[in-house]
Amino acid sequence: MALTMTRTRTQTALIQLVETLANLKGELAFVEEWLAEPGEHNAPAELAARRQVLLEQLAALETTLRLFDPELEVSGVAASEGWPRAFGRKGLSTNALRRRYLQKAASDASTVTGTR
Amino acid sequence: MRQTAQTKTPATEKWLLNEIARIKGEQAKLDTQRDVLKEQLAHIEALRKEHTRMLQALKATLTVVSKGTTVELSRVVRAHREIGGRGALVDWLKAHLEGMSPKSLSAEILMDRFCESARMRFWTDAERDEYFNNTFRSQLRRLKRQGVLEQVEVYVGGRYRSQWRWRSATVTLAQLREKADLAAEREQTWP
Repeated sequence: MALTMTRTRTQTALIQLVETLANLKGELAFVEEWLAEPGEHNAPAELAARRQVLLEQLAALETTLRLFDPELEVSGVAASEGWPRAFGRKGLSTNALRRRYLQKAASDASTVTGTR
Repeated sequence: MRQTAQTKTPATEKWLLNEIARIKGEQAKLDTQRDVLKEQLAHIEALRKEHTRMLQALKATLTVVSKGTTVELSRVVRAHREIGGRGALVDWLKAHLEGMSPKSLSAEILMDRFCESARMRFWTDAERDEYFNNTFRSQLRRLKRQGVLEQVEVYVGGRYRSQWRWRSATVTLAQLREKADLAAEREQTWP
């Protein structure tokens, strides 16, 4: 891969980065909403860890976008509802989405632990 | 010239005093250099810290956006400096030298002026030399090959020095004669 050539392909990269940021914001809003729900058993322990990961990824992506275009107003990027697409078909119920989300969060955590 | 015994400094003392003064002068020079280097080091450390932060952010972003793509992270690219967008140096050289045509300037002075206008700052002489040799002078030579600029030898300060200027349209001898004839005609028709 010619690394230098990629520096000129700005528009596609910019769109993908902004879309990723919007998706991350959407996912973070979903996790925070879940965490804020009253009741002891509603929010599993993995969620707090996932929230931390999302916050770190969000900060990294914001830094990357500022590096990409210093004049870009990163805070103006709104949260996207498109992020649950990675968990299956469109229009998944909240409960089903939460179930799949937890499964993925748990498998991600075990993968990370396994690789260390 | 007759010297009195009181004013004559013994050779050893004189040599010692001279050496002390010389070493003091050297030390003052070194102190100045140390201060400059300290400032440079502080700037480099701050830049390095900022770059480390950006590198971590970029790597983290790569893990978010990549879908199983294996990327060689150890590769290093010596990217060009970004100064006022693509082609800024060429545009500046053309505009500056055309504006002052037919006067010429040395490459060193041109670079000083460009750095000032682009607000470029070099922290070491080596960094400056590298930019001059690899980018600035290469661009002057490229413009010469394209027929935009020309190199002339100018007698300055007791010797010939190479300078650069805008290449004006060539005037042939026949054209000059034609101009002279026209001027002569105008003078004759004047009442």
